[in-house]
Amino acid sequence: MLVNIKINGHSYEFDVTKKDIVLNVLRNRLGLTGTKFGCGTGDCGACKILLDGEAVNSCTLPAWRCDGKEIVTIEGIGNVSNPHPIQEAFVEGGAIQCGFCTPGMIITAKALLDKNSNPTEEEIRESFKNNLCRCTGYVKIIDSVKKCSKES
Amino acid sequence: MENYSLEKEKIKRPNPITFKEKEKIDIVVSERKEDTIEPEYVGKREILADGLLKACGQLDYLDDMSFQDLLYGKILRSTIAHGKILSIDTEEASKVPGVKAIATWENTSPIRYNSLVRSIKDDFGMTEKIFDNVVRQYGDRVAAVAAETEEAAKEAIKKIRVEYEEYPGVYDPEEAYYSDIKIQPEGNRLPVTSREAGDVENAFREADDIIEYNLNTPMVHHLTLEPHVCVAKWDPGNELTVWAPQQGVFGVQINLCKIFELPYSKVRAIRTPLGGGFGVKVGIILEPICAELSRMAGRPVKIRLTREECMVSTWTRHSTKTYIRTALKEGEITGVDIRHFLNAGPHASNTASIPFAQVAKIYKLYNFENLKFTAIPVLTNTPLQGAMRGFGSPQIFAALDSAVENVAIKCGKEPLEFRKKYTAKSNDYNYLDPKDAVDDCTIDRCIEKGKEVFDWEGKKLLPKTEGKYIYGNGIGLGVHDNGIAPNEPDITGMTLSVYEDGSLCLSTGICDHGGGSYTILRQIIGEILLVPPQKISVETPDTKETPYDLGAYASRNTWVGGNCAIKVANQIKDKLLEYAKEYLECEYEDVIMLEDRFIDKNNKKEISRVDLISWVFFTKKEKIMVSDYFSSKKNAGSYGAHFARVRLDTETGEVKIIDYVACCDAGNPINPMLLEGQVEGGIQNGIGLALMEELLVDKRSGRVLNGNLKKYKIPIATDMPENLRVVFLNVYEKAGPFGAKSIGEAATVPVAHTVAHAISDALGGKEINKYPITPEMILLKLKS
Repeated sequence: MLVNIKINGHSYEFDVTKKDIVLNVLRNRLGLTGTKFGCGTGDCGACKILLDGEAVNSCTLPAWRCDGKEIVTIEGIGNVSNPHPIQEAFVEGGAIQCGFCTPGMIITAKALLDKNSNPTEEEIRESFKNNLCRCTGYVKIIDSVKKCSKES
Repeated sequence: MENYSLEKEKIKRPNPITFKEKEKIDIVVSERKEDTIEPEYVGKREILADGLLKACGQLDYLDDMSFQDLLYGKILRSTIAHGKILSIDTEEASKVPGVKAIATWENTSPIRYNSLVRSIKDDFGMTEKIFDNVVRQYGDRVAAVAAETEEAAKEAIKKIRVEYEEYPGVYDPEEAYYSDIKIQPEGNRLPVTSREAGDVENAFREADDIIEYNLNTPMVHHLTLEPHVCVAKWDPGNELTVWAPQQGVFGVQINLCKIFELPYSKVRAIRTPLGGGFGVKVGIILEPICAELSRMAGRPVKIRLTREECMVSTWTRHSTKTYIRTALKEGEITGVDIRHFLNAGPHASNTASIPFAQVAKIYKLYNFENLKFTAIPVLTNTPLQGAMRGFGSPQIFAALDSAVENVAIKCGKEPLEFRKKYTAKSNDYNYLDPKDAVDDCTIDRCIEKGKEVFDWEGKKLLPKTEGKYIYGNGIGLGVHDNGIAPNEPDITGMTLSVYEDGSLCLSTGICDHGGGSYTILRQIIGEILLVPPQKISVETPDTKETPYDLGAYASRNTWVGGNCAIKVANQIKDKLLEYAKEYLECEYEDVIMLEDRFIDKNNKKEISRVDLISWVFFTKKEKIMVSDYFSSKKNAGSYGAHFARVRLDTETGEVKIIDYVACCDAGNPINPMLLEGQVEGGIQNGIGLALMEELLVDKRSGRVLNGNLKKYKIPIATDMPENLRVVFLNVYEKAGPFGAKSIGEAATVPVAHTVAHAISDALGGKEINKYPITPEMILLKLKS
C-alpha cells in the first residue's frame, strides 16, 4: 500500500506492506541510520523518533500506521555543522560514551522539553524510563537535560 | 607516597623526559618534578572527539555502513541444552530463493579453538569449534545461512531440520564438578588455582570461633546497546577481512589464522566504533561464522544478532558460589579460607584466567595473616560465561568484604572501623602473588574521605524507620588492577607522525570502547607536544595498518596506552627540538617549544612550527614520525570505598538507593569528566548486579527463561541513586601516565556489596547470601 509520511520536513511516498517497520524504512530506504536498532521489541529506546511530536519506538511501529503523519529523526534535530542545543549539551556535559543510545536519548529529551521547558529532575528521570543506557548511569544525561531546560 | 599527593587544582605538568633518557622510560615515564608549569590539556574536561557525531546520529557503527554485494546471515540455535546432532537436513532450506550458503558442522573448519587466546602459544583449553556435532547450551550454534535478504535467511533457518540425541545437562558448577555428565571430551574440570599465605590450618586449629559466610552471584549479561554484528569478506585472493565492533583486533587475527590455517598476512581485522563493550566484544563470536559463509558464497556476509541471541548466545559475567570460613581468636580474624566456584558455561573460554586475576588483587585490598584461596572453574551447560567489567573482582570482593562485614556484625563491632584493621597498607607484601607488588595502597584514604563526604557517623544517627520504610547504611571496598603486567606481557605499539601543518596522526591498535580512550591519548600527546587535542587524529585499529595492541580489556587503555603515548610523543618532541636546535644554531637546552614556534632563548631567534616542519622536509629531506612500543612492567591498584544509604519498603520489598558516595583513587585524573562518567556507569552496572539482573536457566531443561528485555531488567534512570556523588583522591601514581590510573573496571567492583551491606543493615544485620537481592527475597527476610 502507498503511504505518505513527512520525514524531517520532506514529504515521502512509500510502497509498504503490513510488515514494514518504520525503523527499517528510515534506515534502509532513506539511509537515515542515526536511528538505531537495539532490541526490535520496543524495550531499549535506541530507535526513538518523534511521531507528531511524541517520542516513540520505531522498531515496532508499522509504517502504514504513520500515513499522513510527521516524523522527525535525530538527523532532523540537528547535524554536525548545525547542532541543536540539546545535542551540544550532551557533548559538553559528558552525557555520551559509546553513543549508541544517544540519538534515542536526545529524541526523548526533545519531546520532553518541547512540552515542558522547565522539567523537574523527577520528570526528567521519568521521561527516560523507556531509554536504556549501559555506559553513563544516566547522571550526565539528566544533568545535560537540566542544563538545556535552564537555558531555554 | 605523600610526596605524590596533590589536590586537583594544583596539578602540575611533569617535566618532559628527553629522548636521551629513553632507557628509563619503560620504568618511570612521568615522574613529577617540582619545577613544572601548569598543564595545558591534561586534567581538563576535554569533550569526546566524536561526541558531536554521536549526538547527531552521524557516526557510522558497523550496521550503518554499506558494503557492496552484501549477504545477510542468520544462525540456527539449539533448542536443547545438551545433545548430539544426529542429522541436519538443509535441503528445503537451500531451496529458499536468495539462499547462497549454508554452514553446518559437516562443511566448516573442524579445528578446535578458544575464542579468547591472545597468542598462538596460549594454552587456554581449545574447546570450541565454529559448529560442532554436539550442542552444549540452550541457544548453541547449529547452522548458519547466508542469503540475499535477512528475511530469506530467516525463512531458510526455519526450514533446516535437526535431529538430536538429547543428553542430560548440568547447570550448577558444584554439581558439574562431581557429575558423570561430560560436557567436553576432556571433562568438566578446568585448572584449579589454590594459593595460601601463612598457615591457615593452624589458624583454624587454634581458633576460638569460626564464622562462615556464603555468597552466590548470578549470570549477568553485558547488554551493550549495540547488538553483536560482524561483516566478513573472503576475497578470491584468499584474503580474509573482518569488520566488527571489537575490543581487540589482534586476537581476532590470531584465532582466524588458526581456524582457517591462513598466514597472518592474509587475515585482516578492522575495528568499527563500539556501541558498548564491557568485555563481551573481546575475542571472536561471529567472525568465523561470517568468514565461512563468505568463503562459500564468494560475497561479503553480515550477521547481526537479535537481542535474545546477544543475551543467551554470547557470554555473561561468571556466576559464582563462594564459601568463606573465618577463624577468630579473641575477636580478631586470624585466618580466612575461601573456596570459590566459577561457572564457565560449556567452554574453557578464559575462565581459568579469572583466578589468576583474583589472586593478584586480594592482598592489594586486605592483608590477613593467614589466607587460603581456592578457585574452582567448572564447565556446565548454562550459557557461556566470560570476561565482564571487573573480571572476577566484583564477585570475589563482594564475598570477601561481606565475610568481613559479617564477622563485624556477629561480633558486635563497628563494620567500618573493624575493616580498617585488615585493609592493606602501602608496601605490604603480596603473599598470593609476590611479583605483583602492592606498592601504594590508598584504600584507607578512600575510606576516610568517603566516610566524611557521605557523613557516615551522621547517617548512623538518622532514624531507622519511618512508617512502612526502613533504612540502612553500608560501606563496601574494592580494588582492580591496571593491565596484566607483571605476570603477562602487556604491550601496545604506536606510530605518531607529524603532518605538514603541525597537526598529528596517531596510529594505534587500541580500541576505544566509547569511554574516551582516544580523547585521553590526544590530551596526553597534546600536552607533551603543545598541540591542541582537536588537531590529533586517531587511526582506526586495523591489523594491517595500525601497530599491535593486546586488546581493550583489563583496564589497560589509559595505563598502557597512556604510557605509550608519552613515549612516542617525547620522541617526536626530541626530534623537533633537535631540528630546531640545528636551524636556530643554538644548544638543545636553549630551545623553547611553544604551540606555534620554537625560540632560541638567548638571542630570541625563532622559527614557526610549520616552517620548521617544511625545513625538515625540503632541506633535511626527512619526515618526522616515530614508531615504538611500550611494555608495562607494573600493575597499580585502582581503589574504591563506596557508601550507600537505602530505603526498603516493608510492604513491597522495593529498594531505593537514596544516597550514594563513591570515593575512588584513579591516580591523577587526565580527564575528570570522563573519569566521573566511568564511575557513574560502573555504579549503574553494580546496582544491576545487586538488585535486578540475573539470566535465569531452567534447572531441568537448561532453557534460558528471561533472554529478552521484557523480562530481564537493567537499571533505568529512576533506579539510580537520588543523590549520587563521585569523589577522587587524586593521588599521583608514579608509574602512571601523568600520574593516572585506570578506572573503568575498578568503578564497578565495590558497588553490589555496598548496596547489599546497606540492605543488610536495614534488615537488622541479616545476611545477604545471594544476588540479585529481589523484592521477594527482602519480603522473605522481613518475615523470617
